[in-house]
Amino acid sequence: MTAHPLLPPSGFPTTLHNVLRRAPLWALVATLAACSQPNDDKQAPSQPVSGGTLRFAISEVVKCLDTVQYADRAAGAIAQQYFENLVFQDEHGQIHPWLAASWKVSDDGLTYVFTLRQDKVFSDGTPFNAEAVKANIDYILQSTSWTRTSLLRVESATVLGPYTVAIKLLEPDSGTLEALADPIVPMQSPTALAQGAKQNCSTPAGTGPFKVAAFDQQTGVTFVRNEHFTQGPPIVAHQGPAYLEKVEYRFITDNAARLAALQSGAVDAIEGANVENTATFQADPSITLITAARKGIADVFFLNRTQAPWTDERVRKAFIHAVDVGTSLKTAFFGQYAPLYSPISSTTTYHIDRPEYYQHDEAKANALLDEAGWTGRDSEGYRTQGGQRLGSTFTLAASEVPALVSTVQQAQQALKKVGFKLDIQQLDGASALASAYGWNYAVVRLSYSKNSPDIQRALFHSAGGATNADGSHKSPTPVLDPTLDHLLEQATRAGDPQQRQALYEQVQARIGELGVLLPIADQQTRLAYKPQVHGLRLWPASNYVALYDVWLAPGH
Amino acid sequence: MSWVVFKRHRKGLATLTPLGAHLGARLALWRLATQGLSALLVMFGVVSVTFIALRVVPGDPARLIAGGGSGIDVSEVVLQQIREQYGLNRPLLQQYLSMLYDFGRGQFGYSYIMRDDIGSILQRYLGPTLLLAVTALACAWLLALAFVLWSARGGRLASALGAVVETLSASLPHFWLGALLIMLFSVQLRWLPAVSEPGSVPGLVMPVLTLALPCAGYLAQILRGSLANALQAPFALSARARGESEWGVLLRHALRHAIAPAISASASFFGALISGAVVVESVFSRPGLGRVLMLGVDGRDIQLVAAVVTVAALLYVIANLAADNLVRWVDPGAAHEH
Amino acid sequence: MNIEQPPAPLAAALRQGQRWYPLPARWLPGLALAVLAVLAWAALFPATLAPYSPTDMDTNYILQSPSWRHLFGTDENGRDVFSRAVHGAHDSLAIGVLATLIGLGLGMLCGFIGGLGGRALDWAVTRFVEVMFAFPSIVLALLFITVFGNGAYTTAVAVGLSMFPGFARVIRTQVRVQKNAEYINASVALGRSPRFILVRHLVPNVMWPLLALFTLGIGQSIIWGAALGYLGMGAAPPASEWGLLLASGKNFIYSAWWLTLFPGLLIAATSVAATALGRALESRNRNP
Repeated sequence: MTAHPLLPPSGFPTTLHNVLRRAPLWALVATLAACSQPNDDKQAPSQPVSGGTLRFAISEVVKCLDTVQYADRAAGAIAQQYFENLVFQDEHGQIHPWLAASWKVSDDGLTYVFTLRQDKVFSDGTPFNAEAVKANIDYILQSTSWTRTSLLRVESATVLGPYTVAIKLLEPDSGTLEALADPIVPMQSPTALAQGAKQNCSTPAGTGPFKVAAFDQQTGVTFVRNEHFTQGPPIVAHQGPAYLEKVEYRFITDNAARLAALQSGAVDAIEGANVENTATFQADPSITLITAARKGIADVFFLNRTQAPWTDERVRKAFIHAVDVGTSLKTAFFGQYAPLYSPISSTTTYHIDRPEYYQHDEAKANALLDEAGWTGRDSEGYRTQGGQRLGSTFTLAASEVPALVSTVQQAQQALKKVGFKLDIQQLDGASALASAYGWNYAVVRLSYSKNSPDIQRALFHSAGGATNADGSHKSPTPVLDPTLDHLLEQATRAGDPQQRQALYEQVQARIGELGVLLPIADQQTRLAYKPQVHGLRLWPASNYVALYDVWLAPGH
Repeated sequence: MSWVVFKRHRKGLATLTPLGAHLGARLALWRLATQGLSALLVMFGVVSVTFIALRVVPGDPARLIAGGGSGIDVSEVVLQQIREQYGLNRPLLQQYLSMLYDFGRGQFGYSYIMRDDIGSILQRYLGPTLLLAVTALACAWLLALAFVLWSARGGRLASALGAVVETLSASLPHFWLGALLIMLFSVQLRWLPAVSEPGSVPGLVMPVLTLALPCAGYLAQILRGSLANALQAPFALSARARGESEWGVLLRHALRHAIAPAISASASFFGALISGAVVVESVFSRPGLGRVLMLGVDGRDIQLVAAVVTVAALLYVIANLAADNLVRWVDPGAAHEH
Repeated sequence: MNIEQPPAPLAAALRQGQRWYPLPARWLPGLALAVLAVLAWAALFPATLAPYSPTDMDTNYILQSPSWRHLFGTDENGRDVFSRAVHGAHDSLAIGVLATLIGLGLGMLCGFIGGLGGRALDWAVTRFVEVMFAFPSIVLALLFITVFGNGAYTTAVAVGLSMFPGFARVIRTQVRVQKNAEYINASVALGRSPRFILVRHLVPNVMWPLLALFTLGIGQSIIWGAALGYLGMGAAPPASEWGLLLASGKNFIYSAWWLTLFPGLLIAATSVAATALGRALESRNRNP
């Protein structure tokens, strides 16, 4: 194995703590790459071995393998195995060639001309070329899923030559290449697309290192090696076909059962190694844990400023300062998540921490509430104003992860100390979604995975306040601030990376100033695996698992 | 079904005259017809209740389809497009009637949440759930019978202890029991797989036990009660007076009468087993209709939920008919009480 | 039958029968009553038993195993599990009793209307009950909670709704058996009013044998409530209803067994005690 130029010198010990701290991603990638270094392996051979079946359990059920039809995170997280994208995004947010060998952006930022690689073939035998790219862009533009939203400002694709294709935009969008690197915007075989939506859910074809052999929405997916695969994106550790002959993905949604499957040896690795089981992972020397923050909007508590009492900026800020996130990170998150002071996660491009807006300060919270006129107290010790009790309701999804359920309850206790009554209401997924888009909630926990800071525009721009016929809104998160809107629009148009960075930093600061949300923690991809697994790594575009470099110690 | 009628009327008519036989056949036909009709009515009611219930609950199917779970920035145009595609913009009555019509023809339609034909979804997942439920019921019966017979012979203490054990096992929440079993048999002892692969026999053991144990406790309670009654009944007394051994009285006379209420109850357990399957299938990551049902409820997929509920109702109706006839066969006297 | 063998004396046969009859041990009803009394006390006056508040958190002492300080240990937020369990008794017993009462009330309504009504009415009611029976109860409960929001009381109603078809069916059968009984005929002959017969004769004679069913229903309701909690549709946190304790503790089943063991045992103990008591009442009713 040869070290790739993108990787820093190896030699990082694969200890838990090193990985768990919010280390920069390159350190993480190095740690993963170090799996094949001699110092990592006690008895197993250090040379990758071809063959074998990896059994891998994931926490979410994939409903459809075509990420354009069903663009949820579960599908995106599995897509790396069989799909590839036009371009590749590294851990710094830089864009590199992948299926496209090179590209040129016109001066007005409206036309992207891609020159494609000529050696790529889809796993069903269909050649990858300009026609295929056009077919994919057309397919995405007529789709109704979130993938369509990722390419919101794309107008059309035009074939310029057998391996040259132009993508035209309606208006300049600095996030276009990032969108094309997103796992939910893959290049699929036009032949497979032609088989119809239903069929393409279970038998899609991509150019990736594996191809789909079997799919069942409840049991899992089986992949077999794509023997014709030649070359992956820049960060991979080898060339040619993948090492693994076969991969069996199992969907195990029950947290305890998933851990039991790993411990009992029923699977070799799991995703969704939940933080509640930290003690178990630490006690079991045969289990290695790797974690990385996903990109996009982190886990935040969002305050709906269109509902009382959040219409008052002072009350919003009192909430933010009253809640003690630091303690929650120590207890509910078992010290495994670093503090976060931004709406976007620590690995998202142009992330910047602004602790001054979010730090825990009970005295400040009390002062703000006094200032806002909530000076009365009722028999239970809650603040009142004009006979009305100060309080609000947290809308909690029924499927919320335990760490966040704990955090909400801890917030409830912290708010009680400043005389604020927070009630908790639990809703099932569909009802929660309806309440979010109807703006019928007061406080909610939200997060959105996306490999670009422009996710903030989709969520926080006032255009999202547009009302549909049924009274629902385009975006679930009303911020409604003209200053922020202007910054977000400018950032989308900014062609120069430095200018873009400056603008997105201002965006994060502005959101802090407005006091509409409280960042809790990154969303992490958490993997745990047994010693026979080597070379497990995450694709930096979204920090989802990539199995191309994985090999199994022989004799297992 | 004539044997049933024969058994039923053997008591009433001294001899089975040709007239009696004729009457019996007419009765059987009549009963079959009414049973069939009421079964159909039940199915119709179940489909209607599902439709109304899922239309009342909040949640916009179009947005669920569009978002794939997230769905920000979906435009009104797209939402409309989806509603049109799936017929969600038609008047409610029309949606309801067309669903009834389709179900009547055996056409279950397309599930937007699972992106597949509902017919083929049912085909795929009915088997595993049925296997689970039937095996669990059989297992529960074995456990309950063995336990009741054992403790019935053990005197007062054994019987009191038996009652406590039964109640205890009927008092175990499925998901906790399942987790405990996984911890013991998969993680500690490593005897059984934590994940129940379809088609694997060792994988079936824990899910079946999880469903069967509480059910066995419940069955045993019923059996114990009716067995006690039967042993006090005049026929048991006369059998004893005739000098039959206690085991003889128990097995030859009492059990036959005592078993009838438990059989009737089994039919409703069968319905409950389907509900239990929802939990057990998710604890053991086992494919099946229970998880399809949850997926459908979560996704407000009326068509899918209605189809699964219809199948569950059909199973329940069949189980009831079977139990009814079984009771008639086992204890002809009991049939008169129905 | 062997005629040579002398018939056993009748008295001996009766004695044999007595031995078969599973009279609960004498101490069992007393114990059951004591357990239920303690639980009822906990439900009504939790503060007298719980050493700590059920919601106060001490984040320096999270996930502590049971000790004299914390009898049932502490949870992931540093709350005392014993205090939470004591305070949870109210919600849990409320779900158990309320759900059973609702189920029994609806069941009695349907059962008596069906049992006493004419053919058409009986047919209609029976079909309705059949429909509700055939409808998977978990779907019914989930949909009800989705519409009316979650909490101990909605859980109780949801569980009660899914229980009533079972009650209705048993009650209807009992009514049909009892209404033709000789004492009813005698009462009619004596010229008693229908209301008198219904209230004084029919209802007690129908309901007494079902007492065990009722007490069993309490345990079953608590368990169903717990299952809804597992599916995320039970009482909302920070309530400490036992089903919720069990469901949230399940996430820590490998590292903190005490979070599930004690609530699980409490659910089982309540159910066993209620059933044992029901049995005792039932048998006293049968042979006074």
